[in-house]
Amino acid sequence: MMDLDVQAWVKVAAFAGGGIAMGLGAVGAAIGEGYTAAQANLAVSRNPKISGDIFKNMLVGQAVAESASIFALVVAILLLFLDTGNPNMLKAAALFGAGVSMGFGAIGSGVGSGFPGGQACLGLSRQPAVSSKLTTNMLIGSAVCQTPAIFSMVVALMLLFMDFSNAPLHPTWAALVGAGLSTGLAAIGSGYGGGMAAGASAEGVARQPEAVGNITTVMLVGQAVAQTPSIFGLLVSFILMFKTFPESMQLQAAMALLSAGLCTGLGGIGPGVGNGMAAEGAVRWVARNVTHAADLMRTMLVGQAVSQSTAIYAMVVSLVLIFVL
Amino acid sequence: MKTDPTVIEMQKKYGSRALVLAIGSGLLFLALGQKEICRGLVLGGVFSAVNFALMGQALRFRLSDNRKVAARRSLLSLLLRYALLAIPLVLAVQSDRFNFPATAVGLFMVQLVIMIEHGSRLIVGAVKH
Repeated sequence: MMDLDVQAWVKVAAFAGGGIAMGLGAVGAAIGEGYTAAQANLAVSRNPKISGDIFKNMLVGQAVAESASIFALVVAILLLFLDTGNPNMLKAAALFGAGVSMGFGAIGSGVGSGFPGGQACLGLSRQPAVSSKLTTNMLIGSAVCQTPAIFSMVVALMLLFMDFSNAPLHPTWAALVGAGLSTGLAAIGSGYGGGMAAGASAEGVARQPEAVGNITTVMLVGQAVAQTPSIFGLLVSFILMFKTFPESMQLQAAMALLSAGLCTGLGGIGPGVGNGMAAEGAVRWVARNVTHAADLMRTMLVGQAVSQSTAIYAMVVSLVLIFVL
Repeated sequence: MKTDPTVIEMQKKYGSRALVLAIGSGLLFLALGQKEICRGLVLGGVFSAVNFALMGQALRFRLSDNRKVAARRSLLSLLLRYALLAIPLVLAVQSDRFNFPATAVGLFMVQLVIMIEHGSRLIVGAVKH
């Protein structure tokens, strides 16, 4: 009877995780693709003569923006159909955590990767002659935007396939759910922020095609820094998954680990978006004033470092929750 | 309304290249004795190409004077495409004949082809300069 209950709980967790993974995973990509299409409409109305080229660019941009939701689909199908082997309550927590990680983690990247697609369509209507440069810049920006979603997928797959059966149920269940929350939530801001920088980059290339090298460099540096909060999230997830916690039936021990994941996850959203804003500003103004690209990059990096500090505070509190309390 | 011929050309180009990449890499694994990986890559690649073709072709059916009808058709088209992409994954997870990770990679063949094409252009351009 007890075995049956555990098996049922594992199925419940897998189905709930699968629903969360695909449900939330579809949100971001659909918004991102919709943004690209909206900007493509504006572009066609501005320059109807090249509507075919704009339409092609929109489709390519949307195809890449959809990647985050395909990651979510892969994880959701695994959760729904994979044979979980030896069922135990820790497996149930791990499967639920996997769904949470992938579902939340796909939102930011999905929305963010729509921005370069939209701006590239708009840029194409202004500067049809630089379509190749624009499409390449859009694809680079869009692809880098997917990184936080890939981090989330890595955590989800680790939670799905790692064997936690030797660890004590209490408080490890909370650590596994916390691991999913940490990377999943932190990826929202980084994905969205990276998209802001990439969108400004596509706009900048259309405005100043000869500055494409400087614009792309500032975009990539800005996106890399914007991804730091999701790396913090990944780090806390790894600690929560790999550290062995002593058995404790006290609820506060479990809540400390769950809160550690929540703290870095939620704490990473704002800095990710903020860093993206700083990068967006720098990239936009580099296109207008390329001679001062070095000054603009320095200002961006200092601004991002300060904006990053709140994510560091969140990570410090998470580490205190894991190692001290 | 008909789909622009240049769009159809682009879809054919990326779709066929995705299939070539899937089959080519599949044959490579077949030569190494990894039949399941070969089948998974080809299966995923086929569905990736079909999904990309549907993305463009379904657009003209979605266009309508009535906004509500257009929104309904868009949602239906999106759901149908996700359902379509789920087919190879479900097949791979339930059958030992297909390798699941290879099938998942196969679903990204169109995206891979787009990235490879533009990435190689970028590298060639940088080398020339």
